Amino acid sequence: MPSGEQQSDGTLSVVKSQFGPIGRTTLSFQITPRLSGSFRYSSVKDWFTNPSDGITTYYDRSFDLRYQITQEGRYVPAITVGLQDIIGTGVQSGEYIAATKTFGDKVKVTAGLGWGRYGSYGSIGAPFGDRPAVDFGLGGKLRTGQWFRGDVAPFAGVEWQLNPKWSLKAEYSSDAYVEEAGNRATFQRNSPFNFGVEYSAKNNLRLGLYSLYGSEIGFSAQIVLDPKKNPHGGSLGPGPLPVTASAAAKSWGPNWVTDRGAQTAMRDQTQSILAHDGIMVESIAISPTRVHLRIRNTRLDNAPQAIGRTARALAATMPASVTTFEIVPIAQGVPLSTVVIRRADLEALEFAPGQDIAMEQRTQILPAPGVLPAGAILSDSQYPRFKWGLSPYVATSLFDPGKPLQADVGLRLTARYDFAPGLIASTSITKKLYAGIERSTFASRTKLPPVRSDASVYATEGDPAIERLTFAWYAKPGPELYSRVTVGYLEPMFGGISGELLWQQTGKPYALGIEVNYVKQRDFDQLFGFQDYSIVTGHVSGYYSFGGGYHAQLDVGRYLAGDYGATLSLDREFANGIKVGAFATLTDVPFDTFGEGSFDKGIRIDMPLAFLSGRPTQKVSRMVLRPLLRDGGARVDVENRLYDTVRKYQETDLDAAWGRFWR
Amino acid sequence: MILRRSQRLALSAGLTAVLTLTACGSPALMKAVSSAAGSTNSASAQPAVGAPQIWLTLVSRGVKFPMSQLAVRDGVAIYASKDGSQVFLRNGVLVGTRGFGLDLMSADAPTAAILRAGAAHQRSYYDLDGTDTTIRHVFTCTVERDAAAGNAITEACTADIGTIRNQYWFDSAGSVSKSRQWVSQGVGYAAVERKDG
Repeated sequence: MPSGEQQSDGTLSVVKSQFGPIGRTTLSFQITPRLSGSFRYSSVKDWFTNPSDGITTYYDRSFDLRYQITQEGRYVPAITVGLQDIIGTGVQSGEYIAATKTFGDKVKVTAGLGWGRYGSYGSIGAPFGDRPAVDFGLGGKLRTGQWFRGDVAPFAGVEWQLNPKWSLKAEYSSDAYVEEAGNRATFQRNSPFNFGVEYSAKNNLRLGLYSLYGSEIGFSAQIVLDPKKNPHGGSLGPGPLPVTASAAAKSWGPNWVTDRGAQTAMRDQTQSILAHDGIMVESIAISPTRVHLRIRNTRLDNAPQAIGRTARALAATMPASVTTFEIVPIAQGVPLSTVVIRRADLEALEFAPGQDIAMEQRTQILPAPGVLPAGAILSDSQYPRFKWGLSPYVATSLFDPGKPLQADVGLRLTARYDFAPGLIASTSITKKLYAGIERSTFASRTKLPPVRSDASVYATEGDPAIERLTFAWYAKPGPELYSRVTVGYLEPMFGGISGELLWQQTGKPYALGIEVNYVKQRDFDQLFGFQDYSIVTGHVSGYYSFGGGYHAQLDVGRYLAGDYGATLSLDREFANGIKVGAFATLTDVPFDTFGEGSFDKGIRIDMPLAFLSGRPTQKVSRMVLRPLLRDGGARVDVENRLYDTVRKYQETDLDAAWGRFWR
Repeated sequence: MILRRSQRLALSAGLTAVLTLTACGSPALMKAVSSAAGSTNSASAQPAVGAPQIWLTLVSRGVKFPMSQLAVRDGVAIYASKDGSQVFLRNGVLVGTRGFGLDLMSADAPTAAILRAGAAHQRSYYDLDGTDTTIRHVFTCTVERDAAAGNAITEACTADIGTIRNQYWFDSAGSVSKSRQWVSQGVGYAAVERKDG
């Protein structure tokens, strides 16, 4: 039964529930304080009788939106309007308006009106006319014509919080389960009354046991993740080096300005302090009053924290006359911005109340020069440099009608060789230890070139697989212009050449990029061979940060199957690196040519491991969830595109995460 | 149809792993500090032999550990534990922590003199929240002397997030010898005790 309440802003939750033949897994995200979205994967056993493929279970994916009209007040209940299954097959579709009011601190009452599914039992009429029958066809289309049409029925429920851990629930359901209980008789619906008990096992885990529809026992488990609540209570790890007063700065003798030896010693001391935080010094240039230090942050997940720690190290090593610190972060060999910090501000604000905002206001973020200042001393042993890693991996295949959850487990070897700043050879090779993903019997009924729909063939044939083997060149052709050329086996399914140019100004919320690729489809075994299919693809991309963590990206261009169109992506990003977003691509491929789902769309979640562990690391676990992966609207998956590399050290992103400058 | 779950190693995987082994298991800060101090003679950055020590108890976590004075500047003493976490004390009044999770990043706190004088005042705590954003909490406080609790000075403060009570015990010289002070919503209370001898 729907309720009028919303989760707290930004919350992600997953609910798994099952009763009788019906199972549901629902992923929900509180997009804004009042707007939430859910993606649901549901299954009904015994739906089909004697199907030709032997699969009697019906699987369905659906998407909901809920908007809260009023928040609960003293007299006003929380009222929410919801649209369920707005874009899938419509099997779950229903609309509702629900009001919830709390009485005291123990009792919550909900009442509402439902249409569609929620108007199918105990209807009191059809105020807005008949509900038109909709042929959902391939799914993936909005059915606005159905909304709030047809029979409407009331529903209600009450929740009694026994104590902080236990609560009891009772409800009157207006969902007749017409298809499941009626037409297909997968279970008996004897009563509209449901009862349940729920237990909050931990802050983020809730379990429920229910008696449903007078015939079934059900259970549910809910896991909640609030991006504002770090599971380990925030960032752990050692504190910073205290700021050294310049009055106490080391004397380097009268001639340090002209003494390269003294300056090299300063570089080495700075490096020895920063090494403890995984920050590498690439070069240093010291004048009587300024220091220009180029760094590479290899461990700290928070960019301002890396800047802050670097500034503290300089305060400990620089002669007193050096009053301005220019810190230039480098990624992929390219300088990203110049963060200008006055030494006096560092001293004045180390213990000042509200130090972070004050420091942010006094820090300048300027474009980074492409060339090193005169007299710069490079660090030894930064180039060339080699590193490698071996780690376990899990690859999953979801939503295959025969086997909805399949997984491969194996080892992934990665290696990277930096010849010089911006010149990088890298590879990623996987070897399966357990092959759980089977070749899909549903694959490749495509009317387009099979650029993605053979995914399960790639998954089964690549063992070992060279996921990537590339040579990349990153450069900075202008003060606010970045470039990338990547050649080789770009991703598991395509190889070729990819070129990109990005224009991003440090103080602006927008950026523009262009990318052109010539790619050829790789052999299924993901070794060195290619298939016949090749194509030129490319996009013009616009990026915009609305503030408050809301972010949009629009890509317009030609996709892998030769289709032309555009992708719109919307993300909510938190300063700790958690991102939750959705994307959709419309191209000139007609819906019936695209096939089931009508167009490409999905949800993506970035989860930094530093948030989960509390320890500094830059590893991010990325999930891309598509109801269906088909061939229209597909893009090459090149590694390390420019925007995500460059943006972290531009003003907009630095400001958003600035709270940890002093951490 | 495919859910891809790859752990992207941002900039540097192998190197990070090696450094993590050397830095995380050991008191990294101390090493950072000693390497800085050893070569730059900034005495303030090294916990000198015989530096003042305190016991710190994180009440809600039930842990108690010693901390050594690492630096003093502008009247604020920084104490560090063996694993590198820090507290900032201005004449015994807590004005910051580092490494406890949702740290107290800075504070607009009353001086010890204001507390001893029993003056009502306002104070601000700047906490880090889970999204790495600093949140300011402004508290309105009253001060009482509690004869029953060994002449403790109790500072009772109220804000939108609730009421907190800080307690301070002063020695005959007028400095704080012992205290129990609010840190942040994520950390709770910390008890600080001078470790003499």
